[in-house]
Amino acid sequence: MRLVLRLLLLVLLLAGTAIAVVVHYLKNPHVPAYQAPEQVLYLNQWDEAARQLYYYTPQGTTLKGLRYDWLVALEQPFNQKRFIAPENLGRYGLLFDPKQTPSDANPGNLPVGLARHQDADTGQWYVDITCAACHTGELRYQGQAVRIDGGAGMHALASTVPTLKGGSFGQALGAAMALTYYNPSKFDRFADKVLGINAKRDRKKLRFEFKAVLDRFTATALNDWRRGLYPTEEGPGRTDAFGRIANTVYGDMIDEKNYHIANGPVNYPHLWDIWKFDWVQWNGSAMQPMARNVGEALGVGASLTLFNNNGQPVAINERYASSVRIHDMYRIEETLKTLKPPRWPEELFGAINLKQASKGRALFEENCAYCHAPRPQPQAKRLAPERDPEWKLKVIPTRIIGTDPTAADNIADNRYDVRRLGWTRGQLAGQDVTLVGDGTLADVDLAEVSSAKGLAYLTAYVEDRAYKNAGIRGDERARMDGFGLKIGVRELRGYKARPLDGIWATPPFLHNGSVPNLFQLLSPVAEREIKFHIGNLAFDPKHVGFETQEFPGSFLLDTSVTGNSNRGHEFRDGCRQGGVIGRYLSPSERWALIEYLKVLGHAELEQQLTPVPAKPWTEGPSCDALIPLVEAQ
Amino acid sequence: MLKRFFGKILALFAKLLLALGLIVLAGWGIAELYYSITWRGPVASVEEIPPGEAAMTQKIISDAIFIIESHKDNTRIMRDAHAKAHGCVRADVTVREDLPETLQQGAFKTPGQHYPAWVRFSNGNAYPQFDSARDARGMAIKLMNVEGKKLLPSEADAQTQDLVMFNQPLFFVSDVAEYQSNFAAQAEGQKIKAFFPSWDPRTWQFRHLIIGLKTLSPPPESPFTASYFSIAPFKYGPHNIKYRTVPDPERCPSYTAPEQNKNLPNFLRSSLYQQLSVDQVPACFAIQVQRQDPSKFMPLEDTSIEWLESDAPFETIAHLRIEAQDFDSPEQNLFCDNLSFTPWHSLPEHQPLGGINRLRRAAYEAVSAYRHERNGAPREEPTAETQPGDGDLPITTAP
Repeated sequence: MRLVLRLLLLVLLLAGTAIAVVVHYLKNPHVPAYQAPEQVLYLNQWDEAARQLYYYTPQGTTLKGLRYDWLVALEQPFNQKRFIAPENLGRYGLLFDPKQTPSDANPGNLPVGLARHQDADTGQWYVDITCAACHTGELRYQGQAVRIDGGAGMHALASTVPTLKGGSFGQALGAAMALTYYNPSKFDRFADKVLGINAKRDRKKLRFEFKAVLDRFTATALNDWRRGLYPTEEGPGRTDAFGRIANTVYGDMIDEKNYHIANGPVNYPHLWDIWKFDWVQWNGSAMQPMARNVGEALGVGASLTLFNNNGQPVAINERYASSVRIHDMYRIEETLKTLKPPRWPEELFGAINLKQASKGRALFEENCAYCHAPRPQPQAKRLAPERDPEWKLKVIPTRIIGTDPTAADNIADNRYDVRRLGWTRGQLAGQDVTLVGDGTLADVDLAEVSSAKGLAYLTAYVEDRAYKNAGIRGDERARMDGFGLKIGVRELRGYKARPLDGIWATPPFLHNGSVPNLFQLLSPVAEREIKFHIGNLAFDPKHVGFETQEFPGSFLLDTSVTGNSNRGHEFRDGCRQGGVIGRYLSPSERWALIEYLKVLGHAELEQQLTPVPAKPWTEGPSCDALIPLVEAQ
Repeated sequence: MLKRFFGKILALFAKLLLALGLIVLAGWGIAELYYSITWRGPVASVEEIPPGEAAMTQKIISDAIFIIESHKDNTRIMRDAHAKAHGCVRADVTVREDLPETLQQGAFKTPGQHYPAWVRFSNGNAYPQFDSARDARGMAIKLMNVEGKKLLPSEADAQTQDLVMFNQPLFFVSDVAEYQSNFAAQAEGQKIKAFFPSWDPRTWQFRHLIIGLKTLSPPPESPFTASYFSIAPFKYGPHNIKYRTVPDPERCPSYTAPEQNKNLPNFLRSSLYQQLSVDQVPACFAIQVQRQDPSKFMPLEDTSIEWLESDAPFETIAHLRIEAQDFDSPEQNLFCDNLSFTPWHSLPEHQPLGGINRLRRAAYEAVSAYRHERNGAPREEPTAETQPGDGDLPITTAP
């Protein structure tokens, strides 16, 4: 008996400790403290109207059905301060300007990219995570903030799998909602704010609806955690975009056997100039702007009607109805065409050494331009003849570039069963989809379709429905699709080498953010940091990238984890293979290149450079050992 | 009182010791039992390539480059292993006159044939250290005037056949996967992690640790008194073999080496110098092969398993003779450092087999190309006519 009691005591003690630890981290999640900038410096990338449109135009996603006024009214888990206060949301990497005020588009005075839209049927306003949430960057230096519009977001917004220490927006939101729901006095204050004078009357209904949203958060977290879908922690600034879209669309919406492990997180790519690219996405897999945007919105949380409650496909004229807002998407897309690359703010980050930059330009010609120079196509050779300029980008196979292949391989290898959608080849043939490279429609097996191909056809249907519902046809549709482009699909095991205008403003580098600054990117792999800390936006103008020291709440990026490899894109002596793409660059050459990269994309500064003759490309020693012996012979 | 207390302590200690002894004994017994059950033939007589080897190979190359960069000396990049040479000496290799017909294969198909050769003796470490330090010792032979297309496409017309060995019959890892994790830990300077890569006891490599410790052994009296083993298997015409070289004093004048001062850093070089240049006494080795009997436990894909001589004996195929000579000149030492030894400098009849050998094809080439480019040295296979000093960077001497 005494033994039983003692054991019981021990169990209680352990449970108590566990709860105490969980509560501790709910109160003190592992995120950096927020420091309001003295001011936010904007770099004249576009005008203020364009900026506001980009920041707060909704695209048609919801946060599991979270209402806009709920988010605004929500308190933090263990105090009565507002959840949306910069001191709270800023910790998760969401961006505020101390001078920002509520506006029509942003009545809640929320951070960049948290927009709202009104559901046509219910009339309710929902939180809408729009493009700007992930594609806006900020660099902090000496108490100032430099806003990079269209740059790389550095928040942990996408993460769905809870961790003990916390650190993601979703987990913090879930905690705040749970404590609001289960703490009656907290819920009373919440209901007062949301319902106003009707608080008494509608309290029960609100509780019911609120719980439904909370349950969806919990269900997603449980599902993703139980299945171990995201073993590589994404941390700030990354998400396995393709993997998450695929798991949402093929797994959540169609069939649970379609879940695949997504362990290839990528940075949020910067958006200036992308309308000029022939193909977009890190691996150059998508061609049509609207289809790419629709696919992205489905992954971020746009609703999509495929099946009824009995699991049967809904009637054909209702199928593929979505919350995607094509008019708004088109407006955002058009506005982004006016976005210029950011200019290096000499007044804050220090003057540019034009002599060094001139030397750097010659080195760029010699070592970088072959892959990274934009190649404007003559009209006859463009994918979209109307697009001027259209840049043909190289997609470099991972075999050559040597950077982490996980993301590209997952896209190329994963297969999904979409037979529940009841597609036939005949129907698919009628869609505006072009398969480029391996395979034709005849080779498409609906029991195991690749993610890019399946998504192309699905977005084609979703687009069709959206255009039909909006009464858009013909030329207008072609224009909104983007230069009348078809929905193209490619699945290359490689990553595209984009032109480097304004690249200085987009750390960390490589598609998976595994290299913290430009100096390390130009250094041999042996000189790159194996582990480094990120998450507080502290900019290092010397090495051009993020500071990497540990700080309270920092995220440790360990490049030995699957998907995080920092190998490849390497300049060093020896065999030009396995990711070694060029000759060794001496440190002074790296510094010169960095000086040029600060200028690149800024015509006025580029004109001030003096011509320095570029050396010819150095071919490396002949090596063949990484090629299988039989092939080599 | 005190006595009783000490007595108790002593008894407890004795019990503990006994228990520990029993555990060790039991562990040893279980290990013996386990190995006697699992280490049995038959084994495959062809290569079995595990998945993922190419990716691991690339990782190993990165680590190797890191190692040579971080271990370079102040003027040169050195090898990632066997960085310190005791000397490169000229040798004559003669195919055994009465070689049985079945062993007349590849470079050894003509009994009595002579080949000129370079032989490089080395310490195994990635950085030169005192010869008295525990280490592996290497012997690499480069036969010249070997006719026929070679395996490496970029060096198909080279006239060389290399034999690369060290003084242990087995290697401290089994395959590329294990080598990768072990090597990565070593590159970070973590010796324990090399053999105990995680908390999972299934990944612990006690046996390989013991091999590793054995590999780091005290120096021989002279590089000429040690035996050297290929460790990894090779083709030999229709056979699969491992090879070795052993001292063959009967074919040379008897020689008692004067005692060397082992406190001096390079006493192994001094011993070569004493014998070949001062005392003018030649040295002799026998080159031998051990044929695989696939019905026995003689695996191709695990270099940590010794092929037992009781399963298959070694048979001499050639005699190696190092005549008295002067070898310790700046030109020859530089020439020696710029040579590239790889088992893949080989006729197809002697194709390297097994994971560790497949790894060596890529890793040795990558390290060699890197080293030579960084050192500004030409990288080409020598011929019998190549003389030290030819084609190498001129050695700058102070005016």
